[in-house]
Amino acid sequence: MRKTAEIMTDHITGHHRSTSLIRRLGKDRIGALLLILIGAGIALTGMTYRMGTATRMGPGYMPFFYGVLMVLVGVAIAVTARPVDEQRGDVVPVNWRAWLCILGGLVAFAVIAVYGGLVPATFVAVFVAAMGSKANSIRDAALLAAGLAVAAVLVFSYGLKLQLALFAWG
Amino acid sequence: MVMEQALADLWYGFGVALQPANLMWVVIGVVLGNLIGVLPGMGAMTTISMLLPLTYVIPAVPAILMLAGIFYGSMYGGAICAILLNLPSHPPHAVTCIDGYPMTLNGRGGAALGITMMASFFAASVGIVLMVFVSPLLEAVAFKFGPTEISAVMLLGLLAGATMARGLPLKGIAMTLFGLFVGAIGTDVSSGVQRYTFGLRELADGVDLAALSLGLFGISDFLLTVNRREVATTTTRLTMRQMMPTRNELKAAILPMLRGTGIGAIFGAMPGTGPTITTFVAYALERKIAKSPERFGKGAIEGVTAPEAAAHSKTQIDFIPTMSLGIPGDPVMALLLGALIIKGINTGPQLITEHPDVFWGLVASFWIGNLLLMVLNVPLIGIWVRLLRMPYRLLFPSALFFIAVGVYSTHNSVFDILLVAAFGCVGAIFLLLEFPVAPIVLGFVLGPMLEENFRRAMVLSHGDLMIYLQRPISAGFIIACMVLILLQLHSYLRAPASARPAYAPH
Repeated sequence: MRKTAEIMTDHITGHHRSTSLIRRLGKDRIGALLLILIGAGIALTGMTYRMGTATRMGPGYMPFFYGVLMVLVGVAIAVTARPVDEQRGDVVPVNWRAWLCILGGLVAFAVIAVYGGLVPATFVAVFVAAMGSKANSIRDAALLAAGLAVAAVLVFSYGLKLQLALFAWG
Repeated sequence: MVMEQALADLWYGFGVALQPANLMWVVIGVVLGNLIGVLPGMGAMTTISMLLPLTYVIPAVPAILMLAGIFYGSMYGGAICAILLNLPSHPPHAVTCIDGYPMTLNGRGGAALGITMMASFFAASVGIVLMVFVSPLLEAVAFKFGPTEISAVMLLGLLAGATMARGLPLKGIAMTLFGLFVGAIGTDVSSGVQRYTFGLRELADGVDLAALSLGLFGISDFLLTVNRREVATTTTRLTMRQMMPTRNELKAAILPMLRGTGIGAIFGAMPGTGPTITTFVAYALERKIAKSPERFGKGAIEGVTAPEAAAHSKTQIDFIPTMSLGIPGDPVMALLLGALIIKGINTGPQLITEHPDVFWGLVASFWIGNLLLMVLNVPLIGIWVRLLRMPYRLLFPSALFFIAVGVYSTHNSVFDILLVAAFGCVGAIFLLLEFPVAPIVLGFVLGPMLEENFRRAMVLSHGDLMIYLQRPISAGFIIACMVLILLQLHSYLRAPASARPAYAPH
């Protein structure tokens, strides 16, 4: 049991290093604040569509209430927030390298697929994403990227007839 | 009479499922699901969403059969990973690890896998039998369902899914609302107005289900796992012979298997209770009634058998409300339901009557697929064990590539890849703040149907909400909703602040 629990909590707890503002507010209140902002945004945008009446609802009617309810739930979470020291684990310092590389890899694939084709898109996306892990060397990442680029050609392009040029110029 | 009809329908279902084209997709689904599910860190949700785009190109019946195959294939793959690696990729398997991994350390990992397979097959079979006889009864009730009843039962499903999931109930409700909002993005069906598209043409058809779930379950998991968790590897080698449990192990496993199946069936009947809690209850019961409870946690075979049986019978029974009422019990069911909707099939009370081939074909394919799993896993276990050695640092970039290509292929549009990145980011932030992301999918899938039926109900009643209490069936559902809320309030007020449910990490 101990071992399983350890593995499960590892990435949530992480190191005990976080900025003071986040620490003082705690996850519950930050989440509540986020919800109130999102909910308000949804409700206000909903009001720009036709609202209609309960009998004849316009397109804005339901989303407006989703937004309002989100604000209310957000307030309720803020009110009932657990004391900060009781919230399990600290706010994890964001893993910037992984976030940048993984999200960057996806965006790179999307952009390069259009302007460069499947092969360069695969290579760059996999290489960038792999560099997000500290355990990967440049050589390993490049080898993996090359291997998957070959797989992309064989499996997806020839095998599954993916509608994407292997190479594109501009 | 009911019995004869059910058997005739089941016979028809086997006819559908055994058509060569359909059978082929079941086999492909089971094998791919098992293959990806066994990879460390790839849970059932990630596996299904990764393979979802594959089903976009095939007709509805084989598509749903294949998805179901992917689902139980990945469940089984996940059990292998849990038992041999001590790594629960799919939350319900956290319990399987407790005694499964010690069994591996004791050199009985093969037997644990063998018994898991038998327990799964047995429990699934019981679940299938229940499904065959209960669904038509629900179907008879479902005939009386109008828009009022449908929207009321959906409200109950959403509320149950939000509050019974792990974590604080309010956070679950917040995430359901977020999912309802994401479901509202796109062109409004009745007015043609584009909502929340921010002028993006690509959003006119709404958010793609695969893009949403891949972001929330795939990418967000990578963001939180890479550099955080050193995923273990194994040096275990397994042969076919080692998978056969000894006579004593079999004897010890039979009763837990029956009890686990029963618990799964009970929990399956309660909408919204996740599979994780089911497995925990099954495990706790075994430890409680055991003659020597101190063996638990050190490799007790009962501790592996009962939770696995419970998870599989619950899964099977979860298909009943999903298929006969259109309310999914958990996010996996929501994904399957979403896939049916993409195929243009009207889910809800009329599904069994309108699409008997989908429903009965699915039921029959469960048996075929589970049998296939048993047959396949014995010779393939060596390959699965080798897959377990794939290091996470190579696995996640590869998975990311498959996600990108898969999502691109659904609409030949790179926009969906950006959407995956966006939802991955959103999902990771929510998870960091200890908000569960599973209810988002539930809200997303049910949102459009809820809105449509609620609008219709309000047209019928001239905007009077009281109609929900005037009609007996919907009144029943609304009362059930109230009970749920009161129960939550009650447990919140009773518990001292320190004992309030803490978030069980993903």
